[in-house]
Amino acid sequence: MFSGNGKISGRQMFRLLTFDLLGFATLVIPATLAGFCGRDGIFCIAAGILAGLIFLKLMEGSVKQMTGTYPEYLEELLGKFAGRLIQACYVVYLVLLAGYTAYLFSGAVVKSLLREESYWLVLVLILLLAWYGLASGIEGRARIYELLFWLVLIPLFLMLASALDEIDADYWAPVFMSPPKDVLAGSYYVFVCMSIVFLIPFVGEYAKRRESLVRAGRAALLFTGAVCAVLYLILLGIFGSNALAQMEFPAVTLMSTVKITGGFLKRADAFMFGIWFFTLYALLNGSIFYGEMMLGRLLGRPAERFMKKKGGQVLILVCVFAVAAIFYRNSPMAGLYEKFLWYAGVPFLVLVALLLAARRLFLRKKGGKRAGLLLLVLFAASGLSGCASAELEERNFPVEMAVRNTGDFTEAWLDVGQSGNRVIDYSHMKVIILEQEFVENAGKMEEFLAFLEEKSDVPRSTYVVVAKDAEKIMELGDGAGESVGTYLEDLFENVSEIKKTAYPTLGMLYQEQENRQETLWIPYVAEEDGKPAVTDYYIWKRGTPDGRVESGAALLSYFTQNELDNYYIKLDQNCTLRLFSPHNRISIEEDGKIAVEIVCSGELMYQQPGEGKSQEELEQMAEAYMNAVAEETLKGGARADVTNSFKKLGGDRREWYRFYEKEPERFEEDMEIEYRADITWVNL
Amino acid sequence: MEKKTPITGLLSENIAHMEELFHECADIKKKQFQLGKNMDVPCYLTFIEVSVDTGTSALGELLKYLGSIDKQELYRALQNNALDISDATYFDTIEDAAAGLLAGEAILFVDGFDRAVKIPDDGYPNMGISEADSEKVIRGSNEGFCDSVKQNAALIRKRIRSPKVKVKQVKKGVRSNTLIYLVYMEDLVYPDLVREIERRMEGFEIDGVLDSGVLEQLTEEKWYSPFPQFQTTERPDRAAMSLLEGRVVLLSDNSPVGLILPTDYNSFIRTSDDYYNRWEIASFARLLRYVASFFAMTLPGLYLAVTNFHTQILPTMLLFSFADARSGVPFPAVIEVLIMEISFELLREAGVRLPGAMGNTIGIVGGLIIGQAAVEANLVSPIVVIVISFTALCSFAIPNEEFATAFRLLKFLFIGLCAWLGYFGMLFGLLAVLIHLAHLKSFGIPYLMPYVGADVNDFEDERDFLWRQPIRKLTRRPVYARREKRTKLTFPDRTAAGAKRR
Repeated sequence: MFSGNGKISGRQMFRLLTFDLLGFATLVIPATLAGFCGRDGIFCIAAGILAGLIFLKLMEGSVKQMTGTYPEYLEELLGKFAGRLIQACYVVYLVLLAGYTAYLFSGAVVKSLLREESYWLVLVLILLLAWYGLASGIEGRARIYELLFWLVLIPLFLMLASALDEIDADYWAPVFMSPPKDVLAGSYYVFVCMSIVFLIPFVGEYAKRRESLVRAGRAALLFTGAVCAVLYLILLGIFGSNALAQMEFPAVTLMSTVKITGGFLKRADAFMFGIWFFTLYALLNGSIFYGEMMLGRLLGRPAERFMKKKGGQVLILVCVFAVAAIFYRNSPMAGLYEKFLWYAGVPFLVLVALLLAARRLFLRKKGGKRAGLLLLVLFAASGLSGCASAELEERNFPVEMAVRNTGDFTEAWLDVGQSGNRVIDYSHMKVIILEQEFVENAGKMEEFLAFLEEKSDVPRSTYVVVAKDAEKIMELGDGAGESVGTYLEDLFENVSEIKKTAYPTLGMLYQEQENRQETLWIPYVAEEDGKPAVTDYYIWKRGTPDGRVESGAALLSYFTQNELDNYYIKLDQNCTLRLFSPHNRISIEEDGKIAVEIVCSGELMYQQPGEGKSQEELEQMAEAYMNAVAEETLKGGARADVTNSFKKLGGDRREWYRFYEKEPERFEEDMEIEYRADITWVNL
Repeated sequence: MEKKTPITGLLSENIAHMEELFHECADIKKKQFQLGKNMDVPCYLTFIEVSVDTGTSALGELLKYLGSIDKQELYRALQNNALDISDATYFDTIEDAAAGLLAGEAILFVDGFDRAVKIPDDGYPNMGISEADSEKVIRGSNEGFCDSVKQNAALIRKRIRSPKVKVKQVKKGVRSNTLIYLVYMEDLVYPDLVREIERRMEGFEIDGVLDSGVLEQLTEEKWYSPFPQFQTTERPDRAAMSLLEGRVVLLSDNSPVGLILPTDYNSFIRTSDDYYNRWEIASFARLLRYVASFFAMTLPGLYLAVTNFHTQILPTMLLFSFADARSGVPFPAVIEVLIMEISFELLREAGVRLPGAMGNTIGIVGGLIIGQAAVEANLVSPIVVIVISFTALCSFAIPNEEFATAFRLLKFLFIGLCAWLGYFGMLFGLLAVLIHLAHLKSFGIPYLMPYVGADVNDFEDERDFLWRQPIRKLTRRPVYARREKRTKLTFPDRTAAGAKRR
């Protein structure tokens, strides 16, 4: 009466296409693009979207001219043989696309949600769900995504908004550093992902108004492009280009990194995986749906009965399972498929669109049993796999871990829970205490970080500290009144004047292994009054250990980078300056000197105003103090840059950046730092 | 078609037919007596005991009247339907007369008159109009439907005093001959909708229709779905509201539950007082009900997924308190949840079946004493008791019992999926339910309306879905009503002022 006509509206088409595009675009584009051209990837997204729009324009004529179905149109315009050949190619393309999506989808589920579950079980369940989804036809599919659209996107946008706070804009620059060839390759890669809009003519026969089809496609492309661009900038701003390029699913990793305000949820990565669950399902379901449609039309009348009895769906699903199984068993085959897409698949799509355009120029279509069967298979499948997870009370949740130089670090990994017969769950690890000797053993440290990153059981947000005797620090829990991990976490997050986002975490160490741009100041913990306390800092320079320094240098570095609220300078026995509310600026001058303009408020402590020095004199003294500390840190034993200028100023001076990128060892040697204070005094 | 026996002028013949039909029917009274001033007209009155009052009722008055006039005048009055009562119906066949008798009316046969006269009276006894047991509201009428289809139709008509309210009568049940009323607004309803429900009613034959629930199950499209495709109501105001939306209300005799069609997810979440209260609180309550419908289905599963698979989601301190609470419980979490859920369902079932006061006692005994004892005996953890209680609260917050039942059942599916596959199981279940809902329709209306296909009614239905816009903004009827008749609220003064300005 009101529905059941097999037609969908413009809004439904837009949402359907957006979901088809969004999964691939947000899951695979960021890492691959960062690998191609790093910070310039954002331009590749723009170029890729533009290419997608041109592709859409090419297809517009076909969509407008079609009166029946797309297969009919192909035969009408190109002749029966060519039309059928193209249809056969489409079936192969759609089956491969569905197979690759199923492979990627199952892999992502296993990696992100069910690490100990069978890949095959997940794959079978996903395909069963896709098969159940086919029963609802195009209208049912359209309704699902019409409803899910904002339910999925609002949480995504909220998470992206939460991530804004953790962006380090210095990772965005410098740009225009990649060779044009890489930018072109990156742009083409984005276009390959966006080429899913080739499905538009397929939707033609189901559209209420054909004229709205291309409009919906264009809107979906632009919307996905915008989401992808914002996501890319956020990922780049948080992980840096090199680290981003090494990640498999950076968007999922981002969800585990973002700290959610309010503290009800510690991490939302599992919840947020729903975004990719629904979007990848959309593409999988869509590919199978159109593949079946195309196969039915291709086989024609003799196969009609077979197709009517859903034999076509089963055939396509078996093929999809086989393709996904091949990709899983033989990962080089998945790489080969990517090459196929690159060199043959997408060119084929473009070629068909071009062919149709040239030809035009020259010439001036149920559920109860299915649901029951799905439940039956689910029930049977539950016998294949037990509820493998351990009960809550059968697990240990270590919150701190000491890593020593003696023996194999994996022992620390196993000993940390002291679990006996319990399963160790590292998901609530708060602090890793690295023994100084261990940190300075570059090979072991690198191996350790690679091991943790590979296992990915420990949260990326785990704080990292260094200690002379890690075991001794672990024993200080009694004095602190709570576990050392919880004590140090509270110390960093609630007591310290350094912003909590500035403290080095495990994720930052992973990133610096790849980015090699930044100087991290790792808290050095020692016993003080029977409790653990930060006494010094340990420098982690461009992914390598660089020695211990006094707190003064680290605090100046945090203050210089606006990461410390209050910075104290003791001028003499009775005179201390408090500098606060910093809005400092770091720049590079013509001669290569790094200029730091300290713009903040200041007050004179422990001395009556007017009794001592003038504002100018105090500013000069502050400048001199900071210059001395910076100089000492730069040219002394540590040889560290308190301004983190290499990371921050690459965008300002590209040649300078390029030079030291090649010769990092000369950086601290060549550089000069000058502090200039512009203090607004509150009690003078 | 069954051959019918015509009523003849010979009273003895008619009596013989009636006696044959109703032999060994002790509850049916059959009286032979004489009418007319001279007591010269033999007659036969038959009626079901209790359903007819021969004293001061219309029947009593009629008999007095017929006993006071002479023979010619009596036949003249019978011929001309001048019996001084408004609803005397004449039957030409014995079978029709028998049906009239079984409908609870008195049937009068008069010698020499070849038709039987049905004289309306009290009809069958029923509980009368009482307060609706379900769908309680804070504001608005508490009148509820009763067992009599006629009284129920009158309760609707009391609210919409318009000749456009049409009532179609259908009899279903080969043996029960149950009276079914199809009530609708003639100018608002899609004629196809009325034809469709009539077609579906004609599509089956059953011996007895004892409640509207039988009709519901025999006329719904997707019989395997846990979700109801008819909306049920015990409230005449709700039924009237539905009629004004262009929907059809199906009333069955002996049933205090009316069926509303078509329906959708959103309609089940709406309550009558959503429209009697201010929009802010109505919207808030509605949003709360949507959240409740989600958690009624997923919360125990979500608890299992988070505690067994994705512990990283919870804040550490909360996780530790969960783990502490579970220490000493001898069962795996999934068994613990299932024990509590099944116990809760048992308590609920026992509470419903037991008499009123005892039902309440069961609630207290179950909830407080057994629950506390189970926790103290370390059979279940306090966290699980909280989770199950919250889930129960959520299911009670869903205004429609049949609809809430769907979520209660699906909850067990989610428990199984989440215990097995964690959050992936949750996503799997959610998508499967969503696919099913996207596929589901009620008389052609997508079940997810207006979350899907809102463009069909120019997005007007989106003014009354997740939240309810101020009543002055709800100027259009929902998609169920005929397109050209969808305006339901106008402001003549404002329209006139607008015209003047132009």
